[in-house]
Amino acid sequence: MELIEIKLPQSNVNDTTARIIEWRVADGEKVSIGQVILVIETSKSAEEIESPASGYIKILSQVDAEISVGETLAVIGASPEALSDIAIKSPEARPPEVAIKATADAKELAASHNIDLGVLKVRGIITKRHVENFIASIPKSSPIPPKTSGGRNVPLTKVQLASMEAVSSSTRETATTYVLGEADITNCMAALDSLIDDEGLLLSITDVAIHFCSRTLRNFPRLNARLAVDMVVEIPEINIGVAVEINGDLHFVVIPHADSLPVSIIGETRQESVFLLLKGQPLKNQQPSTFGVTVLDQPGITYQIPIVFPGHAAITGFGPIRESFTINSDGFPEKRKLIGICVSYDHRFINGTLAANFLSSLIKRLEEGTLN
Amino acid sequence: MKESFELLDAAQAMANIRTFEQTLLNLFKKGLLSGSTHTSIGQEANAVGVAAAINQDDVVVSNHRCHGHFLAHDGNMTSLFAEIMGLEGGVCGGWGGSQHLCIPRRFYSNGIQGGILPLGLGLALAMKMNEDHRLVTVFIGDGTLGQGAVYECLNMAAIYKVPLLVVIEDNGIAQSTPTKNTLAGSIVDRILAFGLRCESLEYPDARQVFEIASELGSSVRKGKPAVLVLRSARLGPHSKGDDTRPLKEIEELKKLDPLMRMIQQLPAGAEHRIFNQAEQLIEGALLQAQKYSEAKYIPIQKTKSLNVHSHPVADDPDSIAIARSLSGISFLEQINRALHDVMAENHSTLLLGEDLLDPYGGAFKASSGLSSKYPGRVIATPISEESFVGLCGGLALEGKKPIVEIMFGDFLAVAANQILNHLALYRGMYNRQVDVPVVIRAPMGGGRGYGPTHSQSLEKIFAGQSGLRVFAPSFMHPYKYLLEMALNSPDPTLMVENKISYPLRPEVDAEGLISDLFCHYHIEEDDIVLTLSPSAFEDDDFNIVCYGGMVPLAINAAQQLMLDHEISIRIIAPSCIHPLNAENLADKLVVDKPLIAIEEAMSAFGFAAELIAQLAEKDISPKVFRRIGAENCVIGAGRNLEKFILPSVETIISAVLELKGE
Ligand SMILES: Cc1ncc(C[n+]2csc(CCOP(=O)(O)OP(=O)(O)O)c2C)c(N)n1
Repeated sequence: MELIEIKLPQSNVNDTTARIIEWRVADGEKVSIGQVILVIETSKSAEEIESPASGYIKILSQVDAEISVGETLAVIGASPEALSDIAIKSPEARPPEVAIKATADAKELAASHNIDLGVLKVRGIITKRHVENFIASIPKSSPIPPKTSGGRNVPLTKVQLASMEAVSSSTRETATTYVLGEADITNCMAALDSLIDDEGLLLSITDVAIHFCSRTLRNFPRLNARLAVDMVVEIPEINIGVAVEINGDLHFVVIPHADSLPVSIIGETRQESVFLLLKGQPLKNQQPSTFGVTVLDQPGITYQIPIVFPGHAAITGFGPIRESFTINSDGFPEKRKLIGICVSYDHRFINGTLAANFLSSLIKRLEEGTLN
Repeated sequence: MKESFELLDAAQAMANIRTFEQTLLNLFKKGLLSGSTHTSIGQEANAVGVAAAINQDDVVVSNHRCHGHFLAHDGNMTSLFAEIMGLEGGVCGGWGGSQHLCIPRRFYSNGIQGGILPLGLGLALAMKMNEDHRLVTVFIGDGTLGQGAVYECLNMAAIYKVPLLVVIEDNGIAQSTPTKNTLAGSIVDRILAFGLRCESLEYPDARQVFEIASELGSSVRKGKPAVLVLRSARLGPHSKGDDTRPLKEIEELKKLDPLMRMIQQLPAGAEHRIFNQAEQLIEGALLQAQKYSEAKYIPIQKTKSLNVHSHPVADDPDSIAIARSLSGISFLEQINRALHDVMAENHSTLLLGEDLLDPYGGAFKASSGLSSKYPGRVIATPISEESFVGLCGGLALEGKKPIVEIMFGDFLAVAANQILNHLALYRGMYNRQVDVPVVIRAPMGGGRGYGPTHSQSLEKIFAGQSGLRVFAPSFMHPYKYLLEMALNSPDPTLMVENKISYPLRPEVDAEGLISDLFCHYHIEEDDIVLTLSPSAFEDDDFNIVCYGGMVPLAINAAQQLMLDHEISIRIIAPSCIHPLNAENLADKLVVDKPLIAIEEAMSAFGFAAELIAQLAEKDISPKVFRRIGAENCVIGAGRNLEKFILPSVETIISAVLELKGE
């Protein structure tokens, strides 16, 4: 007996795919002709599929998989041995979605100039011409160094040139405005300390900031958004981009789906990326960020006012933690930990009230200090 | 119905008809008339008897031998003379001629044997739906009983219970062929097989016809269709000078002449008086008619663009709004929603076709949910494409807006007679006195392995017919807009829908780019042209003009050509392929760049041929032009056969690369 493939039939004229709801038999089991072996769901209904032959079954597609008409779901062979060479498709067989579409020539040129295509703001497909224009827009160091009296010429790094472009495009194209506030993070820091002590994790105020910002954002979809021609696109995923400075280069490390990650994983993910950057290696699977967070903790400063990253709606900037005495509810002075926070937002499509509500909600969460 | 029957009046009416038609034959002999004419000499009692039995506002539908029916029901000799003479004052301004007469909502005739049955059935169905008191009488000859549509319609009349009276004038001959040589069994038995009431009379005079027609008429009006068979004698030629029967046979028949038999019942001298009066009347009418000038041809105006830009531009706000409105909605969902909308918005809108009722909702489910929501307005038909498409013409002439589904576009060929010879012609041949807003939806094309008879793209058979519009939107065209355009048009529209596009959903990003291509929708008076370009219309290397199911292929090819080769393809996709406005499309091309036109059918005598012909005539054809179409063979069912035979993304890419010299 030859191997018999069981393919997804065209049951409904308009469906090109179906979903597997249930396998009625186990992998490797003996099946007989006409026996119902699986149930699929099309746009119209659930449907039972019968075995076209008797023999041993090798299941190739798992429950919940989306399969296309004509795709092989299982194979039937005369003996278990006959099936031993058949490989099972892994559910992640599909290549991950690439957000940036660029032509082969554009990719090649960008790679040769070490340009991250993500910094080119192109609608549609990026072509070689776009990359050329971008390269042309990067100021060249002039062939004759300007006369200086004892100073020196320091060429900018590629990363610096790229962030230069990002920063100037933010200044050109967004209308950054900000609101300032202060949070008492005494409880929060206590919770963080106990996490560090109990679990031996290396976490910082940056991770706490990402943790609370991402959760607060869930209630403020308009701040996790971008402007598209004449409308605001609210993005379902909350991917926090955190600014990291390494040797004078400003990088953006992205924590995807930060709102659903515990602070420990946020910390781990961030540190992994920082580690790679320190080693000068490229970041893996960098996804586009949807909201920015930045922390500056040099003593003495109170606030920082960041600019909105192009393609974002807002960013929060945190200052260093400082200690201060406040009067508690019993009327006694108490030493507390305070932090200055700034929410910068693109005033073209975000109003002050919304930004203020976000900040105030963020402060409330920080003061409650519940970390998970 | 008239209360009483006056023998003298009837005889006068019959003499008028006879004199009129004899005058016509004389005019022909003298070479003063052209074209054809079919006289009813010897059969006038049928026309006059039936006309006396029905009301002035009832509808009469007639065939080639229609003058008597017309004069008996309406009486205006001048306009009939003028029509036959091709003059402006004619019933149809000289466009119809002898066998295509029209008085809107009262009288229609057509020279295609059997084709008037679906028209009559549709008119009667409209009467029933509108709870109109009027009835419809259709006159056909016995020779026409060879035509399938007759039986399809008798069947449907019985099922739908419509006020339809079919009168068969059985003169025993068709042109030159004795009916006994072509008709098996008995006429009456054929009718009775449908469970219809059938009465027959042997050589009746007008009074007998009147009596039986009156009786039948009152039950027909109550929704009991009936057939009246009238044995009669054709005393004249079929048309003119073409009688091959022996003189003796004709002499025998003359003895059965109902007019003479009726005159014999009148006082002496009546014959002289009656014919004298008839001659005076006819002479007066002829003189009157001759005062009209000859029908003049006035060309139809070209349509205008409603768009500000005739060239495509990126980021046109209206275009972005259209693109967004289609985002993520499958072509089938778009169609289904549009049908729901037009049914809700206008109570005259009706749906017809095979297997449309829920829970089935049509073979491709486009009509899903509609019969449950509008039970009386979704009509399930038998497998009778010619007749159920034809009856839509009748519905439309009574103010309805029928949308009829042909299950597979290939079956359009079965309905071709009604589409090409009836629906498409009514407006023109009836001198724009009627509107025919019928929409014929046809799922077309291959790619599903249904085999040669269920996979063709037959639109080119219909494109090119005057009076018929052919729309073939892609899944990225706003279907509802086009459907409304079609329903608001006075002409019938064939709506070609590529069936493998049904599940496709436009991928529109927030910025209004469709599949990473910039889009522009040009709204024209009778078309929506979609243009797409990866370069924001700035810097395209090739033009691809295509429609319907070829649009998703072109998009796919354009993406790949851009990503792999940096070749920028501009796609220009009209939704109206006939009448094709190539000049308008030319505005959207990148000049001096090659043009490839794609269609799913084989290219011979097709869309691309029409496009390039029009461009060449205007001296605006591109230097390089290529056609892509199916191979010249049947569309084989096997997956691999279809892949090879039908145009594909790969064929498009290799055509472009070849032109590029890569
Ligand atoms: C579809 C079609 N086929 C053929 C003809 C040519 N034709 C015109 S009249 C006629 C004879 C019709 O015979 P019948 O139905 O008995 O009517 P009669 O002429 O006897 O009144 C024919 C064959 C036509 N007009 N239409």
